[in-house]
Amino acid sequence: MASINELMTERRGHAGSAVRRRTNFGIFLGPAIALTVLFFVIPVIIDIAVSFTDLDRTLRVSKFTTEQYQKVFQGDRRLPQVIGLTFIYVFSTLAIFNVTFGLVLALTTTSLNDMSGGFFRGVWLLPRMSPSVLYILLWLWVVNPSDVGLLNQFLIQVLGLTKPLDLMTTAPVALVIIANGFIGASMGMIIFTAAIRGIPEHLLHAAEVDGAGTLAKIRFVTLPALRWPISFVTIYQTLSLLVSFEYILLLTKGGPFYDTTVYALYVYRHAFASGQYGYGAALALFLIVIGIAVALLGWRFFDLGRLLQRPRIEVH
Amino acid sequence: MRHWKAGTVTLLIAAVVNGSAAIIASTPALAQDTVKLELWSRQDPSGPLRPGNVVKGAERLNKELAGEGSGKRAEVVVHESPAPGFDDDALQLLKVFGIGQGPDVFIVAHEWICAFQQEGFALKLDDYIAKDPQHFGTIFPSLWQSAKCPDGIYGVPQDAEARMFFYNKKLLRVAGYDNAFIDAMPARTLSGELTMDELIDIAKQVRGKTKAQYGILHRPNKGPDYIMVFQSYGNSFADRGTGKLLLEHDKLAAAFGWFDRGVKEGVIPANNTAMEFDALRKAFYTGNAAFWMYGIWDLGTYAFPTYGLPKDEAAFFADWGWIAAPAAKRGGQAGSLTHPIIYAVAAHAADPELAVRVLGHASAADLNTDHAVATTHLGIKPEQLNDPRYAAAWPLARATELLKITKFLPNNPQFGDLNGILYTALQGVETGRLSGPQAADFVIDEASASLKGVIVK
Amino acid sequence: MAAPATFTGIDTRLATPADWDRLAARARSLRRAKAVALYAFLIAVSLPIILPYFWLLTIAFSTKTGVADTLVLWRSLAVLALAVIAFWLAAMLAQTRRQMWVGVTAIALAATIVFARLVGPDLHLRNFIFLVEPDFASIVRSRAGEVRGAVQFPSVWRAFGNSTLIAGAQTVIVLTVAPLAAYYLSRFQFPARAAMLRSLLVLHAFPVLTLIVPMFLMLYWIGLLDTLAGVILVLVAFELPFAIFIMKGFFDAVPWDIEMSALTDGASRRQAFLRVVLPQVRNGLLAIAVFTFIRGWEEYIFVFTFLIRNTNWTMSLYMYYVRDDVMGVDYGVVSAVGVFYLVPSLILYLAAQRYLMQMSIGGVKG
Repeated sequence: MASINELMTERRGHAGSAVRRRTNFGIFLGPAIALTVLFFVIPVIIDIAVSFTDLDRTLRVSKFTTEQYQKVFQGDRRLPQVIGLTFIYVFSTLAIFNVTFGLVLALTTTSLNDMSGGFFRGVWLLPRMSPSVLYILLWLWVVNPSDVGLLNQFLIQVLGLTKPLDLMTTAPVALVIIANGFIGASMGMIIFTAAIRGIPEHLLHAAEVDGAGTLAKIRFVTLPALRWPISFVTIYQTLSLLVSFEYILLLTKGGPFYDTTVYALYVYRHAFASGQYGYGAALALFLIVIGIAVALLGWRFFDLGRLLQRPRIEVH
Repeated sequence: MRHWKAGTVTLLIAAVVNGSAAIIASTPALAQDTVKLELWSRQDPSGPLRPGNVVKGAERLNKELAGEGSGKRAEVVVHESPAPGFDDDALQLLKVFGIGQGPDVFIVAHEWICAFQQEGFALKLDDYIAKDPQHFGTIFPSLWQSAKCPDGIYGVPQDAEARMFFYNKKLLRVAGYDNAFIDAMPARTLSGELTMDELIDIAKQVRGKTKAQYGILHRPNKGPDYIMVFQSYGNSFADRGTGKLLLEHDKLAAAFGWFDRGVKEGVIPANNTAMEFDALRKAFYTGNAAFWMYGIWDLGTYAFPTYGLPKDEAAFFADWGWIAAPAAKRGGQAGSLTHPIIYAVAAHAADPELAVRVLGHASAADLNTDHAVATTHLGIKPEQLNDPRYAAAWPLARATELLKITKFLPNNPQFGDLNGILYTALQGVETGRLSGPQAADFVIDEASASLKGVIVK
Repeated sequence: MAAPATFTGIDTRLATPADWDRLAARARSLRRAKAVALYAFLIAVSLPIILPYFWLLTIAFSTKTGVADTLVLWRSLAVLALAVIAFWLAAMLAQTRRQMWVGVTAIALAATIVFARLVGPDLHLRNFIFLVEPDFASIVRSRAGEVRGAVQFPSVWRAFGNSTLIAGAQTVIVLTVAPLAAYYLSRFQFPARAAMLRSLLVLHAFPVLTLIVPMFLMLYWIGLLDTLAGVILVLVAFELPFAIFIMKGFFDAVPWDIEMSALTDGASRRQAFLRVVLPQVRNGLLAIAVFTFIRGWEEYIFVFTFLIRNTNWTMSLYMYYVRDDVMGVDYGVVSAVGVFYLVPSLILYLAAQRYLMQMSIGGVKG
């Protein structure tokens, strides 16, 4: 390898290599970096600036002040409840659906033949592939509190319930977790399926010959091979859940009162829907800081660096 | 030589032609100076003629201008904003003005006008209105109140309506009430005898003795209607002297308590705020609910065309009816709410005088009657009552009676935000998360934290 | 010598042919039982997804009055379920291929006839009126009388065109930018590489929708507010981290030898990338193309916020407002719009489903 490297550098070792390196950098990474800086970094900087002003619904700034942060720490009575709910929501959806159920789906569908497995995987990817407005519309029809709703029809006619159920009022958090869970499980399912397919056949055969049953095979062969994907999915989906609220907004608008208002939705309601842009900016900043902290911690904890930084070739 | 000469000749001819054209074009008699006025409107199934009348008004004005010999013409370009409600639309419009791209004329719900005035986005119209008494002079004086900010008039009233409690007489009959009682309900409400509590009792009896699923229904989003209940319990939300927002704890708690009681008695569905608008309408108009707190325009927009309620006055009042918002206590004052929509002119408008003249024509009695009759809104001028179409639209005539006791939302620039807080608290009360007094505390906390200059008593 | 402990409990030294048969039979039935259990479980958990979509389809083609009824749904499901069971039986019992085909065709014919008799009369296309009549909202609302208001909705085809434009442009841009960046990250070593990879994950932690107001201001300052280009660029930027991640996974899976041979043959890095490596990751390109297009197809918040005067109706807005305006009155039309809205993403998804399953995040060899 080293000799070939030398060969390559030798052949290209002329003066243009530094320039070439730089142009390559520019061509390949330039657009991505430009777009990212423009639409991620700069808005955050603006957001930090806005959080120290009193920007309101008319986009006028009259003074620089720290009153938004004072509000966050002193004046906001809803915040503890919102933060608590966010923890519960993120943890439950992650633990029940995104990771666990994704794993279950991947394991079960790969145990079937390709066509059937593919069919079920296809079904479970459908929620993610449908437009969000439509997906939530279907949910609203399913949980419709009258007996027109599909869920109530099923419960009344098959399970013999007497009164129709109103999930939106009685169990909004569960509803939101399940609705988001269906979407979240598909991502894990895809990644775990690809990983399972990548396990060399001979390992499984060897385990079988050694007398391993299905469960043992899963425990000793499959799961260790899935260690990286599971870590990645956990971190990635934690961030997704922390940050996105589109489905919750469409489904319950934040729930009866503040019941399903997760932190991101709370920021949106304040930052956008009611015109208190300065306060919303301060709240958003906290979320960004926490998100970055989780990302970096997760990177360290799950050692994602080793997974992703597989150095390839260094020839320029 | 010949070419050169031909060239010069052509040049000379061109110069003469162009020169004379320029001279001709600059003479006022033939000059056409079209002023483009951008009209910002919210697309709204109950108000398509709001922008439409402005366009027609411009046409009429152009004829008038031609008659005056002026070369000016007005061209109205309508921009329809897809906002889901007047409040969202106002917020979007404030942002648009904030970046300096505001329209010239805009349609807005009246309580927002002072938000625009405060930032200098809206034009003070007193002088312009005084110059055009022919169009503006006869508009109901009380309607001008809704377009006023502390230092003047900032809007032209476009329509009015009345909000009330519709009720289903058929259901009441099945529930055991006799015709005398049912027919006397409106009068008893106006005299202060029928109270908010009795409303709950009637609804409860309907729920108990009929198959109706709901007793009292109200809108499932932020809006003006439920403010009627708060007003019945004495909340005016604005301090008389200063115009600042006023929150009185006990009165708020009493009003929330009414909703609380309604839910506990099974009369107001706990998930009212989560139901869909059309589900609520359907529930009432198909006889599944006793009372529906909404407004008169719903008749023209949905009840008659979609649900087939009888259009004939006698037939309608045989099975349906409405009462004003009852008083809180016996002997109190019944009320109603009117939520006028107004036309406003931007402070930076290209040609303010032209814009106001267009609005003057748009407010012509016949155009306004078009809108009023088509969508069952109330008119703005007394002469509209003489229009046979208006007279034939009996809902309008009957609802005009409510104008005598009607109240408005306060024109405070922050009222829109306060209304949002009230609605959230209402949802909390109905879903059982908050009690009446807790809801009052919530409103006062949130308002004090996020709004400026709120007086709390 | 102690009998060897075996998994099956049969001492293989003393086993007879009968024992082996019994063992094989037991293994077979165990396997079948496992398969049945798996199928049952998967069908049970997949039903909550299949049913609502199928319901959408049946309502779109059958509802007459304003109710979202389920009669057609249950009937068609019954026919379908019976047909599927019959197919399965035919496949199991048939002994020759010809028999199977005969059986399958017979069942299909029978199912179609039953379906036509049972469900056919309820089917109609009237709900698709919105495709030809822009003012369908007034027509729907005035079923009991004649009221035509101002046309509120533009033609659905314009919304469709706008959505296609936005989603398409966004996809093309992402397909250009992401593979470039992912290739570089996968193949080159440079000082900021580690930080960049980490930042890809960190960017995912940005609460994009809460940054709407700063973004509104920024777009205004660079003059892209109220333009389609602004909306498209914002969408591109938000899809980039995910797309780069996925593409990097695909690039990592391409062995280095192919490039190396190209380079030794005298190609530059860029040529090697274009001619040799890119064709190898075609599946990855398809995967992110599908994800990106569907994301652009469903976008409505940015369209509503950043387009002020030029409110180009998109299918997402159209669906949103049809639902608001028409729903309680006519579920049928709303479902028809929903089906129309769903079909393009569905087609795209089905066509590319195979490639989506190959998405990985960077090689998990053992």
